Amino acid sequence: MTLVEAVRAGRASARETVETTLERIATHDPAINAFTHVLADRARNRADALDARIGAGQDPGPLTGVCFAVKNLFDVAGVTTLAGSRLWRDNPPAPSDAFAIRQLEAAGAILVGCLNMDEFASGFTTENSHYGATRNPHDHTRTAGGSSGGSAAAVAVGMVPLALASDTNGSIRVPAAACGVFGLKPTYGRLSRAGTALFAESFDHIGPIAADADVLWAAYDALQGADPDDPAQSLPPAGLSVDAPLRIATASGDFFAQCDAVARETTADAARALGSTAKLDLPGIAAGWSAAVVITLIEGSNIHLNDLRRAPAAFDPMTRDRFLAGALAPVSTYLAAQRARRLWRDRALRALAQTDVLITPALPFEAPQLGCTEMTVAGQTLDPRRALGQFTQPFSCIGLPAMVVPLAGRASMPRAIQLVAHPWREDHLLAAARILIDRGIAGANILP
Amino acid sequence: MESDETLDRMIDAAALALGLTLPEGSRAAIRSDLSTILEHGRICEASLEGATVEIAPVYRP
Repeated sequence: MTLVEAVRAGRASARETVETTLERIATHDPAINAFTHVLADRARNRADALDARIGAGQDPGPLTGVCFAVKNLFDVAGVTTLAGSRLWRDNPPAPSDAFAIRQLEAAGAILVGCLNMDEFASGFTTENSHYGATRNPHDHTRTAGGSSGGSAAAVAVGMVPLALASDTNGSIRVPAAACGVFGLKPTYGRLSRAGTALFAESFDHIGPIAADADVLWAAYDALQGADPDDPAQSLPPAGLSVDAPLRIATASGDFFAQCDAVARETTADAARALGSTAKLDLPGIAAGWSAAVVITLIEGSNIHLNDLRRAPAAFDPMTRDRFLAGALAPVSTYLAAQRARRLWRDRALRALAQTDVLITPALPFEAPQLGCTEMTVAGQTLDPRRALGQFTQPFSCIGLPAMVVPLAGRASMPRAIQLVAHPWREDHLLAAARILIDRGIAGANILP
Repeated sequence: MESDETLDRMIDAAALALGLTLPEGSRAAIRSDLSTILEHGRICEASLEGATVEIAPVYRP
């Protein structure tokens, strides 16, 4: 019997679950630094209300008693939305919860806190100069990935089984892979972002990070729903096919050779477990990555232009200088990137015409040391703070759904693969992930 | 690739137009980040091979 089943059946209480969660946070968070706010009173009140409903014979929903926390760019009623910044620290508290939080709570989940992140979601390492770095639970000297490092680390150390995060260029998938947990970035526009602080609005997605594929999927289901407050939201087309055997291929070509041997081998292992021998080259993917880099920096800087004028010293210096460069870039560069993005989307969909699920490494290498600014991979010297997103950015750039699946049985640092599907085919991602789980290849690396 | 002098001219002109003041000690980092953006922009342009690809006003996958 799972915890949710036990709480729904009244054999365990939501209040006990909350108390256990709060104890785990108190025990583990000082070393990890995943939480920026712990909402103990809110969680206890919510748990008591759930227990009362269950006692009255009601079923609160498929996430009953599941404690979750949110990246601190989600609005939480009564809490100032920080988005990892010092600049917003004195803003008034949010008047209401983000749409996504309301959806999870409507399914019976319990919010217990807010989580650390890179400032304004700009970064892949959660080395936040205002609130401290979030450490990787598997090795405290290494990054948890970013920008949703607090979300992935909180799940990997077992403080919560579920966290909400956002993904502009890989900010769900990079930390999920670095910490060895499941992460889903749905199709662009699938889930409402209302009540979240945007980073680069034409790229921003929200999604779940979880210790278990079933919880991930239950959360994903609960997060759906039409919301007029997010103008980017769109609904899936009717008549999507079902029940055909999955056609699976592994991404190949020079772009995907830019990773270490372990990343290549684990990706090949996953392909074998899925019975796939097909390789797929993706023409134009390097330009897709470049388009993502350009558009992110220019859109990201534009959102903060007034604050860059008014209070540049309040930013983390690295974020500020990156945003200033984006603000100063010529419009012709931005438009070239938007055109390249459109072209890359057309090429990618053509290349994927005969493939349902594409397998890639999630990261080019394992989570690097905190503070690392240079490393050598496949003979190339690179900055890991940029290269961590190399395999995730090209796909969020064109809105394709993608899922990070952690590999089971790792004795050292976690490794993961990324699965990519056609727009609106998140079901294909889950189907492939379930095969890997059933065959013992995939599973979250949760610390006891 | 642009020289430091060219990047500085771009930075100063755009900062003036946008009313931005560059913090002390930031110029080298901004120059490096701007150079990265321009380099990626060139890769984007090269991929177009001269075509004017339509830009969707609201992006849809």
